[in-house]
Amino acid sequence: MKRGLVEKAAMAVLGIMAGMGVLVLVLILAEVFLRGGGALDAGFFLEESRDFGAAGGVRYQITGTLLLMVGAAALGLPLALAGALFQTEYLKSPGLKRGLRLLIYSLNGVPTILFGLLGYLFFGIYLGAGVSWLTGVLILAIMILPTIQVSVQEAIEALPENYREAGGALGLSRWQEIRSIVLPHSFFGIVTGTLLGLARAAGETAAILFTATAFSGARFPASFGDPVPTLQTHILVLAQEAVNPRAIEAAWGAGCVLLILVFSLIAASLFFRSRLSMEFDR
Amino acid sequence: MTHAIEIVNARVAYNGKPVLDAFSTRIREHSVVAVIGPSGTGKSTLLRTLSRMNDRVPGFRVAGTVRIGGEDIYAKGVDVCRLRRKVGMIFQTPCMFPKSIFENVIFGLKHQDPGRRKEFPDLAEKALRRASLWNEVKDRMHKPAPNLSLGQQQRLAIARTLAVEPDILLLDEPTSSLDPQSALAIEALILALKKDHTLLVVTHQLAQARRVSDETIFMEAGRLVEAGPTETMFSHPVHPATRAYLEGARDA
Repeated sequence: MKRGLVEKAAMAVLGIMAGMGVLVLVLILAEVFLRGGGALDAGFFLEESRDFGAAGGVRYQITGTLLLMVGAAALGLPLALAGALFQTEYLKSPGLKRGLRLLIYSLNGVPTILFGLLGYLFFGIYLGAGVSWLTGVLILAIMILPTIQVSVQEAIEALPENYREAGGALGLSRWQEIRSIVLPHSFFGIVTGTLLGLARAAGETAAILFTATAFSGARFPASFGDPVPTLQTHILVLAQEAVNPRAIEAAWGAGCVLLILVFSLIAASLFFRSRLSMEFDR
Repeated sequence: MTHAIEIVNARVAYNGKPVLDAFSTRIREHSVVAVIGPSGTGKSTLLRTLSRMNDRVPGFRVAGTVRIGGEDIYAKGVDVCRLRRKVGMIFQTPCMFPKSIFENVIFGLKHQDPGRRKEFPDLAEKALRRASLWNEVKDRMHKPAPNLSLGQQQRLAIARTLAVEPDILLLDEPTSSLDPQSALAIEALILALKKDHTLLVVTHQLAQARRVSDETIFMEAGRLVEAGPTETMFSHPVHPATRAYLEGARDA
């Protein structure tokens, strides 16, 4: 009797708390789309921004954001893959494995502004890359490296040992095993990790704000040394400085575009993650 | 006469704890040797030692001499991949790659001899015939291998190993996850393969050891207790531990 009551109360509390989390998310989404949805038309995606954001669209902000994301993933993925394979396939010492793992997990928790500061000091000033999309790509690549590596490594470690043994017993070398057993079997994990990394890079503002982006005067970069406009910078600057209501609406619109981008990446990664777990249920 | 396998005073330890100790034996070519004994006695370790499958396990140490075809396999500079093609290993549960039957048969071959790609279909057929599986799968070579029955998968695992042309086959409880019918098919296969290979079979089924093997090794606690012709050992075990094990297992 009393137990049943406690049980019900616990369920109710958990239900309310879970509901609140979802509610907050829904409210944020509703707010952003109510305020910015009106700005979203074909021109918003295709035209460049004019009149301090009050006219035109966010074409180059989108290409700039995409450029930074794709560049960061293109650079981060090979590094993350190499790091994960080195730890799972070649490294033998369990102590060293634990240490490296701890390091990767901690890197995941470092505030992004630190990545931005140190990255800018090293790439922008020491190596002379300046405020440019190249600096941004390098900073973002390092920033999302742990995100990708943790996901890839977990996928590789989930591969049952008997697959490797079956390969080894047939006389496959370590590299042959990696190429024809480990990589194909962790393919979905690699995709998931990359998408999560991309989503993280897409949502990142602090680390690239003063190191890679410009609000005005930048379009599609002509060289590695040019900064790019991004959705994040666009939103921030307009939110702080714009007075024209059209420009404010454009900022919310840019927010919608960014949200759509991040959500589709996360949805895709969830899809691939479910494919991954199916792979091993067979 | 060189022996297919010769082990002299081997000691295999895991993190300093011995799993095999003072282990010596010789195995003739073209014979089937059954390895019997209680669980956790080091039978699997013995097999894995012969193809260096424990190399990647941290903390494993092998001392003493292990020769395969007269060659010390733990000497410096031994090509482990070549060794493992010469000494094939079949596990308790067959592990099929999520690919077609054909791709599974040529899996080892493909990496060993990529230049012979044109011959792969013929070599695959030959290996499947030798594993008595060809007639059952010849019409569905490009269907997924994991859809086969467990007994067929085990024969496919044997075919896959035969395709890389090993001299020695190590079978670690090859029938313990199979139904009786499939188990008998594997036993018949073991007898047929003796003509060209030397086979070492770990088994918990004494009747099976008696049916397939020429010689039997009885192990206990990491040591070889008794070895000799199978019929002699089963009818007149010399060592009291062997006698106790054979009788106990028969009652069980």
